[in-house]
Amino acid sequence: MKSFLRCAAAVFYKDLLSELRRREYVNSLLFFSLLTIFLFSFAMGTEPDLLRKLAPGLYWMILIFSATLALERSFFTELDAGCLDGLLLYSTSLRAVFLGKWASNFFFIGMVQILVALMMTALYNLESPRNPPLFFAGLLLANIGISTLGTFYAALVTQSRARQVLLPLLLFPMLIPLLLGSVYVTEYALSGDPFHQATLWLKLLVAYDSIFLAACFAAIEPLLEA
Amino acid sequence: MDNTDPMAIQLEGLSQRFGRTWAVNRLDLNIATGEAIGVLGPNGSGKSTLLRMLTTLLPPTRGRGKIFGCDLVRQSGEVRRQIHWLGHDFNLYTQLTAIENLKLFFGFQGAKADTRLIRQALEKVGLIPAADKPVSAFSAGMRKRLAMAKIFLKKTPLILLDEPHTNLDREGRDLMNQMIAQWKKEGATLMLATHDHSTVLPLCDKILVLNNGEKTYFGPTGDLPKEIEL
Amino acid sequence: MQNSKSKIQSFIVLMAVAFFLFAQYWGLFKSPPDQLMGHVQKLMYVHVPCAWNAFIAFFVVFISSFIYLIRKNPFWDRLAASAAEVGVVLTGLTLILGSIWGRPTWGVWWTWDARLTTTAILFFLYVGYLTMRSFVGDKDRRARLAAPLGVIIFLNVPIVYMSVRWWRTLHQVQSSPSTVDPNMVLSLRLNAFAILFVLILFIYHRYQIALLKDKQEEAL
Repeated sequence: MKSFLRCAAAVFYKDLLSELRRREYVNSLLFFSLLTIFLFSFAMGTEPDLLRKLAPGLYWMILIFSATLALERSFFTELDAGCLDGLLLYSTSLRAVFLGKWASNFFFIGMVQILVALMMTALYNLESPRNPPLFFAGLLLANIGISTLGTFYAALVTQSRARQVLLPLLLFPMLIPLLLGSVYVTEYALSGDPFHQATLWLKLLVAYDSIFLAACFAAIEPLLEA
Repeated sequence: MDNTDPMAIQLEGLSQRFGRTWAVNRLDLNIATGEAIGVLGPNGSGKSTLLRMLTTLLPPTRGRGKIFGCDLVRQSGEVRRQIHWLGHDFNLYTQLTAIENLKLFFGFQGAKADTRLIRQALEKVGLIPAADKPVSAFSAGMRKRLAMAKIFLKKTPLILLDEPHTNLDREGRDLMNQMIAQWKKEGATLMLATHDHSTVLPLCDKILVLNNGEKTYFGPTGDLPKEIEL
Repeated sequence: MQNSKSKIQSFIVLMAVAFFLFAQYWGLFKSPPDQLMGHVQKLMYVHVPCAWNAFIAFFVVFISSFIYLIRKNPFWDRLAASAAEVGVVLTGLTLILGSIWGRPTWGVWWTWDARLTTTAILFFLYVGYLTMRSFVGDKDRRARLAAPLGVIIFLNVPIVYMSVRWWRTLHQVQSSPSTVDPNMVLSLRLNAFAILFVLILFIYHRYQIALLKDKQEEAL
């Protein structure tokens, strides 16, 4: 067990260290998010009420697109750098590698979540959420879901042709329930949710996360062995 | 290295197909523990594919293989724990320093980094002065030496080397030959694949010659017929 | 050997065609037109069974993929691929027919009805599955990668359906007919079985093609 966790920790630590030193990916990721927020403003006009109403949906759209970029980094760069073999060969277990990659994706996607939230609040003149715990619960649960399926799919398409197109093509339909749940939780969190309407969606997110965490963990080994 | 299996590698009908070509075609092979085998053949003869299959990273299309009694497909985890592979990619993270890369090696294995051992390894390959520099600043030769250093960190009963002498200068090649001799003395089984036979012949007990994925010769180095097309 | 295979095939073809014709005849002529929608409603007799059978096909993909993970027998992989293809065709049909039905009935080409939307998502999911397969050249790798994918995708199906349904209850929209004339039910069931036979036939045929293709590759 200990060696399993150490392996995952090593993978996570390595991803973090590499990224923070080079900062290419991280910087482009953040600028991409910012740019997309601007683009949406130009596309939809700057009427404050409209932006406020659409904000939750927009937020999650931007997040999912940005997350796709972050996910590419987790396995594609390993392959391109000639490191994927070593990673798979020398690790104690393929599941530990998956966990480590999951953790680094979780970290980077979480970073994007916070930054995009801040940027949107500033640019669209939004008020801070009336129900902060609900808001953050939504962020957390969504992040878990995106990281789980995202890491799985990134591993799946890494060695295929057209992997950059294949990743969103495969991932996005899977994320639809998560998108729905997150948008509604965010909407209710912003308005305060006096009638606890978010509970249903929270349950959905929890169920979704649990099912896919279990399934992806189980299925990742035969996948990486291929 | 603790393994009691007298047969290091046992291959039965091992084959690998890419599209319509058979890169390795029905290979039968038996290699005893402690032997050093040279794998010769022109480019495209299947040497790298064979080695890659032995690492379990490439499942065979047909046939079976066992390394120290462990099946390549069904017991791939156990097989991986017993081998080192130095291939065309050096598996080095360019943003990290030499020391960090070696520490990572321990981390992936789930063990605590042994800094003393790391220093010893770097010393052996002559990389101590560059220990804290990022690998991005290394030349190809230095990177290969760092990859060699990894092999010191963990003694494995089987070591696979694909083109051991490329990227190395004269000094580097001498170092490589020294290390190969050292590993042999320690009882490791070695497999060296190369298309340049002059460098490898003196190091190996037996030679395997591949041509278009098929075995055209396997036997002691001394008996290698001169007519074999290399 | 060849004889018995072609005999089975002929039998299935015969059953499928005969049943289909019978069911269509029943649907078109024997069952009454809908009170509100008239004869257009009879599209439902193909639209709904297509949806049901697409679901069956995708379930086959799920089971086959799972079994392949355990047994690694290429038969299961071929079966999964064949079922996925047929499922995608049926799903596409469902969507098109739903659209054609919707236009004269409600005046729109598309409704965000829970079942139709779920079908659309299924369409995307399994087109993705087939695309993934087409991008991997090596037969073995393709099977090994497609199997976990086939399992994971299907797990999303119930979740998608539930979440889309809850989504639709928040936004009021036209509902599909719930009270059904008993004659209609019979028609529906007949057609469902008819399409089931068509499904089996198509999967069987597609599987044979896949098998032949594999054999041809191996012979080279």
